[in-house]
Amino acid sequence: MKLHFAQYAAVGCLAAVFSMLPAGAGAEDKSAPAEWLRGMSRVLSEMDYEGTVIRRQNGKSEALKVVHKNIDGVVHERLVTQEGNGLEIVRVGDEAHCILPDRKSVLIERWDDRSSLFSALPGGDIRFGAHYDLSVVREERVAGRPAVLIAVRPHDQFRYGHRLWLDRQTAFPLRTELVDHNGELIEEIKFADILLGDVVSKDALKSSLSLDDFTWYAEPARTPPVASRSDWTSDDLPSGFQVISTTAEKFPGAEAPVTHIVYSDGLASVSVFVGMNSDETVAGQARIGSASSFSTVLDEYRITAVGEVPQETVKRIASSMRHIP
Amino acid sequence: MNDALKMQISAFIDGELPENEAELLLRRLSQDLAMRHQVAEYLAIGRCMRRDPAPAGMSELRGRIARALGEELLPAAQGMTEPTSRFVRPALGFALAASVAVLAVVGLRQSVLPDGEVPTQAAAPVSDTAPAMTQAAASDVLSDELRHMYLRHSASSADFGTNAMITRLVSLELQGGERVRIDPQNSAAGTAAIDAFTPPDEDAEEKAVDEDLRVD
Repeated sequence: MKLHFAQYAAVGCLAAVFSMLPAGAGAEDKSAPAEWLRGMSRVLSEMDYEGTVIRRQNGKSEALKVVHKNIDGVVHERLVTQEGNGLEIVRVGDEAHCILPDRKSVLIERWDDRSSLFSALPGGDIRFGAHYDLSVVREERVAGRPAVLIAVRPHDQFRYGHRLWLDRQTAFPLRTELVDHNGELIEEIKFADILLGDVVSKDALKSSLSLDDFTWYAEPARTPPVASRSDWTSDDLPSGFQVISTTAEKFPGAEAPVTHIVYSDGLASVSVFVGMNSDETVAGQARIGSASSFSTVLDEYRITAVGEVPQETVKRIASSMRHIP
Repeated sequence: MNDALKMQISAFIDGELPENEAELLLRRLSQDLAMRHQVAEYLAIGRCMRRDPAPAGMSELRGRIARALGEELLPAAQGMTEPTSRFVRPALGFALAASVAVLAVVGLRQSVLPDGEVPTQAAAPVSDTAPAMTQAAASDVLSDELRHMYLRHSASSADFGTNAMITRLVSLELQGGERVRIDPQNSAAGTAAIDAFTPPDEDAEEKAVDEDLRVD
């Protein structure tokens, strides 16, 4: 059978499209970018990895060694800062040990959520279109491996965008960037070198430090959040944000619980905490890592919004909260 | 960054760059933010590749930079005083040290500080040239309340791509002083140590050690 030029071109285009899909993606895939995100979700939950990560934020860089391994269904993770005092975080299941070598101390924290060292972005098609565009941009090499750049672009200034360089073979996120509406970098996390799969050994999870003469500490037990109803609402939410959960929570050492309302547009999320105003001073606004926070007072209540969104968004949400008698 | 520049920086770090070339390199770096970022990354990767967990040689490097730049480029350490909080010192110390690669190249003010000494709030304006990984660390630590909110937000956002380990790392870097509530686990020495961290009016009930978390 002879193929004309147009047929060759069509076959070539099809091959190019399918070559951009992650391993395991089927021919039934309708949306390659969303499928890449689903592939990322799968690989992060199933695959072991170990490598050197460079974290860049606000024009500053730091190097971290990270290890993630599932052993008999239990997540084991280790993060070691490569500079300064060599702070180390070792997680085994629902417990994390924060090792401070210069103080010869270990702080024990409960890891009572489902989060992991690297978490996947939600990949459902329903989350994109109205407030974000999702596209496959091009192929580039990261950490010596071919990667596919996926761009998540926000439609307005109330949310951040994402650039994800996913390993072409596995969809593992080799490099991620959080960017603002104008494309300015908020935070970058990228692997300088990486091992994937069974080659990651258990030994990499062990601390290189001898903790024999370390003193161990633990935080007071936390009160688990309880689902609740709230008599608080926002009258000026940015488009697309809606309530996804409401809980009553009590922080360690606090006397009264706070109401915790989570708003999300399907990709970005903002937590609003409403509690009685105390004497303790909380800054009006702050940057915490890549998150923004804004705190205000309404009557006898203090309202604080926290989220990986622009300062403008947390300020608008916190300032728009109203008490419904 | 081209190979020639990499070799030049490498030679400088090793103390093998001629003095006149070193001066030119430093002046170029002082005027090019993007290049400083690249250099910081280059240095960090180099240490990882060498499996050198500590910033070995950084003190000497700072000294060499200080000497290469000359005293006129090194402002006096005015406003640098001892931090008041016991925990502020390691928290800020870590935040500063985390960016030691950048400091080593462009940390003009920090280069005159003895190792381990950290700026307090009075030194906050230095943040442009004293990079720390978290903005707040340059001038303050988080209130305990805001730290808990940040961690709770992270936990509730696990479905939205939150990097939980980085969240904890940032939280530790910004951990406040006397507001940190932790309990001794394994020794009388630990009890004495925790007394130094905990406010004297702590509720006795809050000090109770959670049996589930006890480490023997």
